[in-house]
Amino acid sequence: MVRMLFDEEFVEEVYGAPDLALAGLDLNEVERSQLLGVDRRAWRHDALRRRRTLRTLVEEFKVSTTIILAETRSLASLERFFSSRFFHASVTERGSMGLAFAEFLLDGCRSGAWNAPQIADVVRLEAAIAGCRRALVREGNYEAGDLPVTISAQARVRLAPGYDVASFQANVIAAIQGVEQYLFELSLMPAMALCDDAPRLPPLPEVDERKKVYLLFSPGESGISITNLDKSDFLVLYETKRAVEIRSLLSRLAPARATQAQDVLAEWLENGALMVANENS
Amino acid sequence: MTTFLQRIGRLPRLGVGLSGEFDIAAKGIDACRMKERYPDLIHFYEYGADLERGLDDGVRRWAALGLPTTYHFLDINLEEKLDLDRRWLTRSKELAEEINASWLCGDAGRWHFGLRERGHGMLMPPILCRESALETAESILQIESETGMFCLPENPPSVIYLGDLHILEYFAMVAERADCGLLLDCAHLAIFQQTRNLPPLAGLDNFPLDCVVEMHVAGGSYAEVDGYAYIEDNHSPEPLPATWEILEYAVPRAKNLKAIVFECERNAPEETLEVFARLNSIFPIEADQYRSRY
Repeated sequence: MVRMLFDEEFVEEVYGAPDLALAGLDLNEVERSQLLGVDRRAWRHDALRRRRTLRTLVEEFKVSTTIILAETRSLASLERFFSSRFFHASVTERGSMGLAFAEFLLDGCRSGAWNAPQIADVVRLEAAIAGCRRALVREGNYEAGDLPVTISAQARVRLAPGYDVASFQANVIAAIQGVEQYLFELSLMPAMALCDDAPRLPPLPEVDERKKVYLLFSPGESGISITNLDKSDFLVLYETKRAVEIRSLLSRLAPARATQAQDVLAEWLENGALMVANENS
Repeated sequence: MTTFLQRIGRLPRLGVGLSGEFDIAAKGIDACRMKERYPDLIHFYEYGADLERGLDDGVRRWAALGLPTTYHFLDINLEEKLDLDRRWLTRSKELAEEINASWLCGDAGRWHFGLRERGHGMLMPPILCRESALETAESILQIESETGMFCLPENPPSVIYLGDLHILEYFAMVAERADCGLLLDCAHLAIFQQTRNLPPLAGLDNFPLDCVVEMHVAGGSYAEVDGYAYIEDNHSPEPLPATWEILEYAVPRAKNLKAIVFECERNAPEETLEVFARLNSIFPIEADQYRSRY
């Protein structure tokens, strides 16, 4: 029912070829006939449902979606999300719609639906923030507290809820700031987008894949904060995106770096970015 | 173990109330200002809340005056027991207690699909079948047991309903199974009856109106899409005749009715006065008793 409320193409499939469209769904004959008994026009009664939902998604992916709309000049390019396998899976598998939207945007990068050189990294960055927010809600804030004097090399460590690390092309933050400045100007009077002399999205900084920036995402006072990381810290923390045994992590590094990595682990355990993982992590 | 009908005596008669939600004062009616200007028209404030946004300054100001409130959730799928997680139970109770809410209530539909996230842009009704009614009843039993508060399920609005039960049969089943009170939204019921081509009062003669603790009234309008006619639940200032007909039938028969809410918070206060006055004449509150209590 949710899929039909959001996806008119799916409604057409259900009424046109119900056996095919409803295959794999756990519906008995009575339920099927109830569904098909609904006046087909009724599914279209809320013309703004997709736009309202898109507004919430765009709030979380505002830079990515601005770059995409500037390129495609088509709202339908984003509304296609509601007919995508990502949206449908988020409904049937009880997943996160926001993270499904991130997958949809990333898939558009891979398939060439959007080609701006900056887009892939901007989507990844906004998706990382969205993932951190949900991890915080799911697992709650982690308070570092007092650490034991010694931590066994067999202990497993992982990034605490709301933390993440990722590497991006060096100009990603500058690109985001450029888009945010444009959106701010537009927010002063949204109707000015109709004018010939309205502010336009400025050219975004060029992408140089050889130059990287390493970022740490962490819970802050007003949402998820982003800070720069040294490459050496990044490489250690990257290994802790999933729970990992300390000795296993250290064994993967060159001996000279392993000592340094121990210091990195100690520092991040103390400041609460890392936590000792329990068996289920 | 006491029954609902024995416990209901504990609840205060709240009178006629105004609905609101997060930051509504900036876009619509400021409950405190409305109370100040029209003290005899509004007696309590029903605050619509979700965990993500929590309480706003408006409801905190209202509660700080010692005035009564109710907590209307906007983020739990009663029909989906899986949705009833520890965080929701704990945090919702804290929020309701912070404003000293007399009870919890809310549409027994689906506020979201998948994980609980804001902005899904929908409120779906339950599937009107026995299995769903039993699951909703189980959720209510758990909420009441873990919060210690009454939880009143409300018949939600929709243009599309699936299932073989009439919505009043569904909620009668929920009330019986959970031994709980009910919130009857007269505007939503009018929408349901229209979708099934039934007269406004159909099914009310067999409905346990003595379980109805609260009623809602709201404006709506007739609309159509490609020739398909439906009622839009747009909370305009003027309730439809069918909504009044349901309310006026139900109020004298609802012996345990404690509160009526006019859902009108997005309108100008002046546009709502006539309806508030009419509701007060239908469901009057003893002014001296109210003043001595609040």
